[in-house]
Amino acid sequence: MRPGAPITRAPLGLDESAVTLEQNSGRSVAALVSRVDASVYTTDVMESHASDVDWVGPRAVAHDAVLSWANESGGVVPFPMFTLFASTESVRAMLREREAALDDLLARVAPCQEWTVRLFRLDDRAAAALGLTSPAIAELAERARAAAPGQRYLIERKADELRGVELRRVSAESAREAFDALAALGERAVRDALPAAPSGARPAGVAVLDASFLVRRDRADSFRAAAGELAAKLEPRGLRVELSGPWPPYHFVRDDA
Amino acid sequence: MTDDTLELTGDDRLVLGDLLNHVLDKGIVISGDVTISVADIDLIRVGLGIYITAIQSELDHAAAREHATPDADVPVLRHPGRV
Repeated sequence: MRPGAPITRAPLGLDESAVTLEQNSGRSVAALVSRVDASVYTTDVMESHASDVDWVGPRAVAHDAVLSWANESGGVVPFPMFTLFASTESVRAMLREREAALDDLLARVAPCQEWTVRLFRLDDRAAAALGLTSPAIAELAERARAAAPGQRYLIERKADELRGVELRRVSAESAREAFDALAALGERAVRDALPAAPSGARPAGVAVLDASFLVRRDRADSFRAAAGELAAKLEPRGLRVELSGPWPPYHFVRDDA
Repeated sequence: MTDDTLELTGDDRLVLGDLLNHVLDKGIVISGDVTISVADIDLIRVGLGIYITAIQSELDHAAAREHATPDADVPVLRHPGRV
């Protein structure tokens, strides 16, 4: 953050500690800091909670609450959770060493919020839509209906195969279309790697896009409206749009973002 | 806030999964040229890889519950407390 931010209005930080603003006199950037118990935040303790959402969850909520406040109170360059320093002097040393880069980053992201858009393919709906939109699949379905049972099986297998190819093609095209349309409204945009498809039933759909956008505050309404238009446009293709935000600019403070 | 005061519903877990995907492995990363941490930062980040894997599984399960009946609206997910 910038020095002089109204820190007394910040929410509580990690483990309900008051957040302080560490800074060096006369410098352009300051750090939001929560003091924590060093015996709790060791590698051993933290790794013992590795799969414990109930341990990580409240800490993540506190971390994000402070950063969300900071982003709406002048801007912030997010650090990941559990970025730990041994002392306030270490924090100040880091600020001195990185002042120029942090200053540039802060100037770039402060007018903005991050929005995340995910696109899911609902296979049953998408396949049904394809029957209407792909002449080749519609024709195979028609032939299968008219065929004798043995031949029908072979035609249906062929239709399934073609349907799989078409589903992936339509998904990829729609993902690109959605990303390009929304990226045009933002300052920057980034696509995250997609999670491996969960096994078994997938009522939530197959993820085909996970993207984040750095959007100026004064364009947030336009961005949300565009996401709504995309949802309406893609729904008939069996694709569902999910929007989350506004977030602090988590995705947009690395060198490669 | 203590661990046992946070009662999470299925919906909360969905947004929590989204939240964790943002806060765990994003943000500016500082390298080891400052005195960091009660332990070596690289070791901690190795540990975070485990968190992320576990969280993804949680997210998948929550999403499966949440979207059993999808619709055309765009849900804007926010974590508890976000205005």
